This record gives sequence, C-alpha cells and structure tokens, in this order.
Amino acid sequence: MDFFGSQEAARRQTAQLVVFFALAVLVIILAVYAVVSLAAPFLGIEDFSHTPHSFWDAERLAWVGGLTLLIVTAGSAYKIRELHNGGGAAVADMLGGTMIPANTGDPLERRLLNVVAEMAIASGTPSPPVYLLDAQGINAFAAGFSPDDAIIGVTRGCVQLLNRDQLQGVIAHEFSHILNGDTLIKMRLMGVLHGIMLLSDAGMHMCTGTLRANRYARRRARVVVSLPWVIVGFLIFMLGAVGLVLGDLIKRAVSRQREFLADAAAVQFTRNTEGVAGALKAIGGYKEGSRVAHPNAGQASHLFFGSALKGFMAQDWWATHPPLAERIRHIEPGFNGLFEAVNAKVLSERNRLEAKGLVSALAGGATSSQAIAWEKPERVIESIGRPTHNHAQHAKRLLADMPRVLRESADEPYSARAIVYALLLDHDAAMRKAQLRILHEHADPEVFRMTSELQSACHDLDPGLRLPLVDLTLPALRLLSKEQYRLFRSNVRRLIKSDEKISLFEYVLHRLLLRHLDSGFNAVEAPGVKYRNLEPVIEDCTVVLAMLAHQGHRLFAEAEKAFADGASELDIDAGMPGKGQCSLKRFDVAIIRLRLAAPPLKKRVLTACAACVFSDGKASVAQSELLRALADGMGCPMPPLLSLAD
Amino acid sequence: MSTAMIMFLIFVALLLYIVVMYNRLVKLRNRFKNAFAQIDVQLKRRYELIPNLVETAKAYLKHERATLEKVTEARNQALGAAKKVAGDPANGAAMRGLLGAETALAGALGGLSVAIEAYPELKADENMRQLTEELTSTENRVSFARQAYNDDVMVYNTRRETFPDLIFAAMFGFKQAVLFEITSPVEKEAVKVAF
Repeated sequence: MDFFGSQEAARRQTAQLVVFFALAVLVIILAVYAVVSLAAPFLGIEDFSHTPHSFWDAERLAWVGGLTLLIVTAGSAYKIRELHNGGGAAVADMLGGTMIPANTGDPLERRLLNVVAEMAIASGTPSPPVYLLDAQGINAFAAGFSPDDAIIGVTRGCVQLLNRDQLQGVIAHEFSHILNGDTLIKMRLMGVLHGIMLLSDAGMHMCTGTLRANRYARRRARVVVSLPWVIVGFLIFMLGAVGLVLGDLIKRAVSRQREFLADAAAVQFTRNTEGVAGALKAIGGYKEGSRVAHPNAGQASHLFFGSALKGFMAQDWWATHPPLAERIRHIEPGFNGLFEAVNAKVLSERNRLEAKGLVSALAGGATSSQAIAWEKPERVIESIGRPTHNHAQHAKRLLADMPRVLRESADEPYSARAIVYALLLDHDAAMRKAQLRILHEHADPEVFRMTSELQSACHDLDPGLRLPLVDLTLPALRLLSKEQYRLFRSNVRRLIKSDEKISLFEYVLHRLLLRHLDSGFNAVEAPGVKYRNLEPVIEDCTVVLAMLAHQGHRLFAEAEKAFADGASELDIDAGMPGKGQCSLKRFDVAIIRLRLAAPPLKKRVLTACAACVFSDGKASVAQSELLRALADGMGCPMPPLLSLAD
Repeated sequence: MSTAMIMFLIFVALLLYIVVMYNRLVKLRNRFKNAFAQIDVQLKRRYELIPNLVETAKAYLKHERATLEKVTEARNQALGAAKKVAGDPANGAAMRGLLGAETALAGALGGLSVAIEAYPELKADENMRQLTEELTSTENRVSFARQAYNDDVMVYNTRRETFPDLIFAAMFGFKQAVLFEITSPVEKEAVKVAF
C-alpha cells in the first residue's frame, strides 16, 4: 500500500473506530442499567417511576443511559479538545516529557537530534520536536494529528542503551507512524477512549473519597449512610473497568497490525535489519524492557514503540503490541527467540563515547544547482511518505554539505531567526540595503548584526540546500515565546514585502514557516477531506499546473507542452492560462483547497504535477523544490528528489 | 428531578471543571519548564568558557589572584545552583539561589574586567579577545532565552492568580514561579563592559 492508500485506510479506520466506540458505550450503558436495576431496591434508592419494582423500566433506562452518555461524552470531548489545543506536544506533556533543546550540548542527545534531522530531511517533513521521558526502559513514541504538530518522545534508556543504527531504526519506525497517519488515529483513539476511562476514575474517587471523608467523621451513623455511596462508587468503578477492557480491546485492534508495518518501513529506510531488530532484541534482553513507569502511560500505551506496561497488561493476548520475538521474526526470519542480556552500564558508557566521537565523522558529497536528470516521476510519487535508504544517504550528504556556521546557527533560537532573515535578503545590492535597514529598525540589534554576518554564507548556499536549511531551523524557532514569535513573523513579512514583488522562493519559505510554526502556537486541526472528485478543483489544478509549467520553461511552446502533459494525466481539457492569470495569490488559494482533497485525488493531482515538471525529462533544483513545496502544502511529505546518479 | 440527581450533576460538572483547570496549569508549567532548558544550555556554555578565561588571564594578572579566585569561586557556585534548578525549574527557592549566584558571578566578572583594563597586553591577546567575544555573545543568548522564559512564567503566574484557579492552585501545589531577572546594577554593567 502506498502513502495515499494508507492515508485513506487511516480515515476508514477512524469510522470503524466510531462504531467500536458506540458499541462499547452501549455495552457500558446496559451494564450500568443492569446494576442499577438490581441494586436499587437494596440501596433504598427510590425508583423514578414510583411503580412497583421491575427490571425493565423505560424512564430508568433513559436516566441511566442519559447520564452515562453525558459523562462519557463530556470526558471524551474534554480530552479531544485538550489534544487539539496542544497537538502532539500535549501527549508529551501528559507523560512528563521535557523537550530536548535544539542546541543541546549533551553528546547523546545531540546524536538523537541528528538522527531525527536526517530522517526528517529524508522524508521531506520538518524536524519534529523531540521530548525526553525520564524512564529507564527502552521505548519511544510519536504523537500528533499531522506531520505539522507531530512530536517524538524517547526514553532515557533508549537514548543511552541503543547504538546509532538501532536508534535510527526506532526513529524510522516512529516516523512511519507519523507519515502513515497512524498517529492521527491514535490521537483520536486516545481522546475518545478517555470518556470511557473517566467512568472508572470517577468510581475510584467515589470509593476512596467517601472512605477518606469517613475517617474524619467518626460517627457510626454516617458510615451507614455513606456505605451505599461506597458500593455505588465501587460498582461504577467495576463498570468503568468494563469500559477499560473494551477500550483496550479497541486499542489492540487498531495498533497491533500497524506495528509490523512500521517495523517494515524502518527496515526499508535503514536497509539493514540490525537497526529495528537490534533495538527489539535490546528490549528483550534488558531487565527494564520497554517499561515506562508513569501514571499516564496506560492512556498512551498504544503510542509506544514497545509495550509500555508490565505484568498483566502486557500479557500476550491483551497487549497493544505483538510479542517481541514475533516482531523480530517478521524482520529476521531466522531469529531463535533467545535474548542476550543487556549490561546497561557498559552499553551506555560505550554509546556516550561513540556519540562524542561521531560529530566529525561526516563525509561530504557534491550537490549541484544545474538541471539534473531525476528519477522517473512515478518513483517520485511512490516515494511520498515512503523514504528509502537512498533518501537517508542523500539526507546525510545534504547535512554534510551544509556550511558548518549555518548548521550550528540553525540549532539556536537566537541565531535561527538571523538565518531566515538572511535567506530572504535580495540578490540585488540596493534592495538588500533597504531590507537591512528594515531589520535594523525592527529587529533586535544583535540579530541584525548576525544577519549581516550570515548573509554571505546564505547567499553562496547551494539552492538545493536552502529549503533543507529552513527545515533545520524549525525546531529552534519553535522555542521562541509567543511574543518573540510575533515579532519574528512580522519581520519576515516585512522582508518579503519590501521589494513589492514576491518571488517564488519567498512564497515557499513563507508558507513553510507559517504552516509548520503556527501550529505550535495555535490550536491544531486534523486535516479534513472536502473534495472527493476532481470537478470542484479543476480550476485549482490548472492554476497549479500552469505555474509549474511556466516555472522552468522559458519558451512558451515548452511550457505549453509541459502543461499538456500534466493536464492529460488528469484528463483535463483546458488551455494553459497565461502567466498573468496565475499569480502567487491564486496559487496559494489553490494549494489550500487541494489540501482538502481525498488522498486518492491528491495522488492523481501530484502525479499530474510530476508529469508536468518532468515533461522534458529533467528539472532544475528550483522546479523540484517547488514540486516538493507543493506536495508539502497539500499535506503529502515528499522526500528530496534523487538524481539518477544517486 | 430529585435533589440528589441535581447535586450529582453539579458534582460531576465541578469535577470536570477542576480537571480542566488542573491540566491547564500543568500545561503552562511544563511550558516554562521547557523554556528554562534554553537558559540552561546557554548558562552551561558560559560556565565552560569561564575557566578558559581565567586560565588565559592568569598568565598576565599575577597580582590579581584574589579577583581570579573570586570569579572561579562564583562560577562554581553558579554551576551548582544551575544544576539544582535544572532538576526542577518550578522550585522557587532553587531559582532564587541561582539568581543570587548569577548576580555574584556577574559582579566577580565585572571586577575582573576592571582589573583587565590595566593590562593592555592582555586585552590585545588573541585568545582573550576570542573568549570575550564568545562570552558576550553567550550573554546575549542568555538574555534572549530569559525573555522567552519570563514570557512563559508570566502567563503561568497570571493564570495561577486568576479566580477561580487561585483557589485550587495552592491546593494542588502550583507554586508561584520566579522570573529570571537579575536586577542588580552590577550585572547590567557587566553585560555592557567589553573586556
């Protein structure tokens, strides 16, 4: 299944989820009703109907059903709102994670962030923030409604005990969850299930709360009075436990199969099976395993790389994850099922030393700004959401090619702003002067100074490295406070507007920043689907195709041919709009609308775009970057295009 | 509807409200805790630079041993205090301890820069120039990270002191967070002084 297929499947599974959930709620209501009906006469609670007691009573059912439904929906609605407010970061907060600063000095954390950055560049997504969980077990998770608000969480044990290959395997596994829309389902699942779990929580509080109150009121009479409450509380807890069991069954149904898929994707990315399999073996041989001892770990158990819980909850038939040996056998068929004991002390010491030495072990390669013969367009579409080992190598090279001063500055919130400003400076000397004056006036004096320092490095930067550089600055920019971000944003806008015309690069950069940073400062929307057919978006498609055709084809005839190639993929019968008709503004609207297309439709549109760009068999870096920005804007992360030489 | 039922509904509503409030405070607290990590990174870098600075200056400042010792001493104190805060940035006492240590360190550094004024060769030393440059740049980064942290602390503190959150905030142990602000005039001076 390709990226679009799994996105579509993720959506379908959401519908399935709702059905499961409705069934679970129904079962709970019936259970509550049964208990109330049986217990009412003994507890002395008067019946609402005032008729002689009978098991079936419509009014009682309405009351019980209504109340249960109210509690469950309120609980779910609350959690869903909380998750939407915080996105993936809300989950990390819930689990007590702390964000690893982008400019961390710790070699092991540095290594982790490098692995994540490589993976992000290889898959064409912005680097997600990485959170550290203070747990000794080897585990990791990904959360978020879309790649925009996604985060990755990693336990301390994972950082310390895995070597670089294994770490890469784990991170690739988590990325696969993000790219396939698994995290979207899991976030929804978490929100919805919260309502069911709330019931057991409330019951627990009723029991313990009443008992505690009784310790202060020593009068015997009161104990008798509140005893029914304790019983009711206990019963509610038991009923909640019914919900818990059902909830876990749903989780299990959703998450188990996806673990195998993510493992397979990770193998494809790292090429050697030793990465993921090694990490799984380490979990098996380590006495702490993949345990995460946090009160909220249960709620998020289906998000983790390995089973976060221990004991009964991790039993084979119960667990959210398939058994380790089975997972390993899927990757390494010959595995004998024996785990070698892990010596935590020795391993963490070795990894620390290795991480320290690794900093300078990167080799450079050449990137080029000329038109290159790329891989076939079909392969480009196939690679969306499915980065391979070749993309990983390419990402490594890109990172190695990045001038050191820029790479280092990108990691600091302080200097990352200067990089973005410097990238926006015009090539024209007079214009640049005017822009610098704007910065001098509005930006922090130090940032202004840094921008002037970095401008030559940014100016000389290979065009193919510009957007990856912007991607690298994102984690640091996310650390700005709201106030600082507001100033930064308005400065970016000032710089873009200063020359009174917006270039394509400026547009792409602006979109990228807004899309990926705004989500960190505002509530998160899960991407929806509005268009299933081509008809309503035909005009948007023609604008996009025309834009791609004009870009990079100087001769009108060539542009027309490129447009026709794209249009024929979509069976659109339309003439190419002239240059004047496709402004960036119109282009922007088109992308925003196309973002709401159903995954299969997106695939068709992107295939047409690729056909348009590659109509003459090659493409400039600018064209390929535009294509990627377009895919990114539509919510389909496209890995960097590989040339045939790769 | 019976009174018991109404009471129960009110109870449920109240419970939900408290949960919402509690989680919101936790979220805001996490945010400023994460912001502190930024300050911490920069402070650590500065603590690493200072011994080099002292080492370089030692060769020239033969008669200023007391000044140099004071810097080393203050740096070690601040390093210890920063470690304590990094464990729990919400701990007001630890934070105040760090602020005190930072003020002392700024004062000691100020004293050093005054001493250096009298040694033109030292000022001209290439190594020294680089170190001062880096130290100044780190100072700027600290103040930038500080701004972000203080923004987040303000949001948290305001929320904490707003009705009705203030009733429960104390009950659940949400303590007032301390702004990272060094008000002593010595430190303000120290930032500006070029060694």
